Amino acid sequence: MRLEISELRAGYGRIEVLRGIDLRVASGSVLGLLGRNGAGKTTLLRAIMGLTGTASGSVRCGDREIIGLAPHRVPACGIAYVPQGRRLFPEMSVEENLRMGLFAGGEGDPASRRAFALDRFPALAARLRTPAGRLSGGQQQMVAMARALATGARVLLLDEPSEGLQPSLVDRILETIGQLRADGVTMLLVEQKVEAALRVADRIAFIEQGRIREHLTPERLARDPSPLERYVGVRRA
Amino acid sequence: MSFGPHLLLALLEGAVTACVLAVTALGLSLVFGVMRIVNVAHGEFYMLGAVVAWFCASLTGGSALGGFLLALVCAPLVVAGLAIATDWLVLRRVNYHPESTIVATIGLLYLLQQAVLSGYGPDARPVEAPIYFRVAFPWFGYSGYKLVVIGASVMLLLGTWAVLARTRAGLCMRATQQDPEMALAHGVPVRLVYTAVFAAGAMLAAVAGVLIVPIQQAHYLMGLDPLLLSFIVVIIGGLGSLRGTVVAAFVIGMSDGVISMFFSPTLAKILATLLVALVLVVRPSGLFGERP
Repeated sequence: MRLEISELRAGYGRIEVLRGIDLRVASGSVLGLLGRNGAGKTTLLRAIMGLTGTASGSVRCGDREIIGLAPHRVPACGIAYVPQGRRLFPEMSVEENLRMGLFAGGEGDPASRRAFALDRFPALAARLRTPAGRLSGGQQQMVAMARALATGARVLLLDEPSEGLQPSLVDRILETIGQLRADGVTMLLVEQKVEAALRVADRIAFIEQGRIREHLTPERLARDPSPLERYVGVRRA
Repeated sequence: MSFGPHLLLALLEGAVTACVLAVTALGLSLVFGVMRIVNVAHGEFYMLGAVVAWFCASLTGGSALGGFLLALVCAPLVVAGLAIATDWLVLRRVNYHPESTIVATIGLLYLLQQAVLSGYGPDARPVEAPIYFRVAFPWFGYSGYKLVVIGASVMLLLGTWAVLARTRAGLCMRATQQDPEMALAHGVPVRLVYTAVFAAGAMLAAVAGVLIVPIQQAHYLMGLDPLLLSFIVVIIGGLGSLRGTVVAAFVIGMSDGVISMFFSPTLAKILATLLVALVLVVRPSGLFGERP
């Protein structure tokens, strides 16, 4: 399922953060979104989910227009959000967190969606009764992603999934993102860790002051890393 | 009567107070826990339950049981309707802002009190108990209806727990309580949950009013004491903690029963207030509340 964003404007109250975003994420691909703090990365993901106030423009998930839908109806369009900091329901068990994903009502029957989510994160099977708030950071990230997959989403919005994780767990999360891409899941990945984004993304988009400035492939960035310095402040040899 | 039977009587009276208080305070705690608003008009929903029970008893004439059963159906429905109207007309318009909702519900408190004063009058009016039987202890006889009140309250508490812990609606309520925005992102219609929770909290208070009215009489100011005690219970138990609410209701209710019996009701209220002060100093989040 492809994700198409056209002329998206959104912000908080009178403050406009996104000033006409245009993005296309092809079905079954990963688009890495890079930019400095405050560039509008998280706001873009929140606007797609209908969680920021004033949004105009168009966001199409497959053939369905999302802008204008009540926020609680967005997940049923096949799109799910894995927020920065995981934001699990901490007093609920892992099983109950997964049930929240199942209730969101995407495609497929709940049993197969649950099986698919646990299949991608088998380590969670032994922790289903544990309150999510008591898990380690890595386990919490797995629950957050499994919860999103349990919705049956074919488009995932991932906001800094590697944040606060040790390198081995980052590798594990990136491997899973690769698996999901092979499963045909479309992903929009916001990352502060440039290397992590470059490892899994098919394309990289740079956002600055609420606008997409450049689209590149990781290979092209490897040849000419100057956009990284220009838009993210990272200098590579 | 010697000390032992006297204590038993005090504990029974305390259990009645505790159970009704737990049901009332549970409604307040549920509303605060999920919606993060303090409903100052909660006691008036309790009062309305009692007043509706009096009207139902008047309608059914001689049948006290019929009037009581009618009240058990009508009072929660009438009060829930009022709560839904309040949610739509007032709380949504102030976007559930904590300070604004306090002011709004204070206004609602006076509105309801004055409406009942105008329509129902200033007199306390008795409602006949739906059933009469006495449980004969070796030392004294005890009102069977009060034991029914205890049983009905326990069933209500268990029912509320079952809904919260075992149903999809309960899961949505808990999700909304823990992170409303993430609940929204997982398909939960959060505003609808708020409406349902506000109505459910009001219904719990109304049922408590129906249960208590054969013991206390219906009066337009009768909501103030339960409101104060509910706040005490919710503060001691921990804001938003349903388990804490029930535990604190039993501590306050039982101690109220015992101290009122052996000393005076005023002393019981003083000690409850001191307990609140102590909890606020030692553990401001309450016994079962989350530490900030």
